[in-house]
Amino acid sequence: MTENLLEIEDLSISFGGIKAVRNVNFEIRKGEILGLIGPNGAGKSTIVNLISNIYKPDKGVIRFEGKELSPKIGTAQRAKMGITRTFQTPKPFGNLNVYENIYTIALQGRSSSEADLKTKEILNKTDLSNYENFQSIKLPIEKRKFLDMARILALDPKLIMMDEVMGGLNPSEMDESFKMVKRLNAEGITILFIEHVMRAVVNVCSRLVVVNNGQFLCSGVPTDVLKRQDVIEAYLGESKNHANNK
Amino acid sequence: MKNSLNILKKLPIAVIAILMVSIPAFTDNNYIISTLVYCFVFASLAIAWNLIGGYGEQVSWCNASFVAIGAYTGMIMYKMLGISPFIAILVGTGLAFIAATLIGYGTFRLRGIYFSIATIAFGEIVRISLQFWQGLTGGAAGYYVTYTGQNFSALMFKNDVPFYYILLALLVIVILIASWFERSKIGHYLSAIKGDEDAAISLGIDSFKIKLTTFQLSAVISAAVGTFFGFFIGFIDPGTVSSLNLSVKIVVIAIIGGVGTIWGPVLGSFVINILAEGLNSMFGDVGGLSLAVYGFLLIVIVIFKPAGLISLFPKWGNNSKSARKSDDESTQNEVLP
Repeated sequence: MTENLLEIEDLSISFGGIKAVRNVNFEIRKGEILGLIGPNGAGKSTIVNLISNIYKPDKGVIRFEGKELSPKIGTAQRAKMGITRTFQTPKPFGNLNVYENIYTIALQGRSSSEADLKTKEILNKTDLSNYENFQSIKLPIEKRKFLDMARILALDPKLIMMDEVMGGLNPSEMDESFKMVKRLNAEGITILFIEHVMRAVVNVCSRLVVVNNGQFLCSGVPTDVLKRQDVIEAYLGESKNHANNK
Repeated sequence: MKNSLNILKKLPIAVIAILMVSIPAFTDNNYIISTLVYCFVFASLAIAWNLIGGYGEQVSWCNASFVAIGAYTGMIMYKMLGISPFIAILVGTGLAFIAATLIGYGTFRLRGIYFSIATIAFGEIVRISLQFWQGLTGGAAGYYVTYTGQNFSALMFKNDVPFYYILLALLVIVILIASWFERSKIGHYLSAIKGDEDAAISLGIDSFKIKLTTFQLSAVISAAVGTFFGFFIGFIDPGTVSSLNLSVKIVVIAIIGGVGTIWGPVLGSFVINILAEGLNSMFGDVGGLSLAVYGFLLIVIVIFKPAGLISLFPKWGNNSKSARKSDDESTQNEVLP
């Protein structure tokens, strides 16, 4: 049986009267690409924010490599442990060029010459070599998403939580991104893939977890999960009800 | 070939350095020497502010308070205990370090303007405290040391030439510290925080620690400069060394020169101080006119050179990553491949 990299038990958080995440349980297995899906407002990004400790849970336990993560372990510390994330909207350091964006992160725990080598290696790996001296804020959206990924690679991550990385990409850019995600996974990086684009989910994920209204709905292999009536209803519930009412 | 190019690049700095060192040999005019000492002092203070305000975009309005801490500590320790300012400087910088730690610890975990507000409050606390503790500080009447003859360890000289060299040396040290800072890991991390703090934190950078350390460094340098500045002017009072006006002047010098660069604050200090002196000698006898012209010229500079006067010398300013703005078209140095 595959070892779990991250386990979530009974995770809950409320914002005022809104229960954004309610008693969610699931695990991310070492080396897999786990898709976390659900309709808008289901709580996917909130779960990512809880794992990276941007939000502190009201209750519940998060375990990484078998050890419980105390809420005192901040976002930066978790990143250094290997728990990393991208954002829905890429966040380049706009005042730095592409090389400097990666180099700055690669400097953590490395000398300047080691960081330089690491940066060049990542630039090649992420197809950003031609953009090395380019001002990061001017990059096209696809390359900005690659840059987000490239900076994460400078941390030698164990887990990357990709929050809607396919959003805003055209089909050919999406294909490039699929390749990138699979390539990173092939290098042993575990990936939590939060996505709306079903083509992407089916293409890259080995397993899916579905959440709806902040609660765990089901999990399994993509082909099975996407056929389930409760999943279809979660996604299409409103329009189906609307159609029935008509 | 590469070495020759490097030498050529450093030539202007070498020429300026030789010029600066030799000026006292060509003039015995104490007014000129004194004006240049002011330029050195404010260049050092603006560089110190620039570390946190320019590289980190965390605007401090209390750097004058650190100057006051350094100046008062040095003079009080010398006058009351006979301790040399070269030793007292350690106490002054230590106190500034503690003050910066207290301000930063309470505010750097928060986002937004809280840090700036806290620095304004701290500046007022220091100024009012200096006025209130009359027995120790002389209160609003100020504090002074009496000239008792030439004495290097007590920073007492019959003219300003020794101060010229001491504060020039201090400026060189501060420039070297800033240059190290810009290339250091902490300088890189601060640039990332300036670029996008959320992203920086999510990528392992301890934003709180980096901002706090930078602010501590800024405070320590300001206090060290303050100690020498206090002995140079010989008489200090809360209005001179601890006012919001002085903090604003430090910020204005950095902005006019060019924030996020090493040479911007140096250029800013020379321009502002010499401009102010020049206008004062031209229009000083017409009430308020010199200040009005001074203000008008500052507005003109900010409108036409928003990145500071250092942008007139691209090789000296634009290569600094911290000087770049996210939305600055001029920084796009390559076309899309």
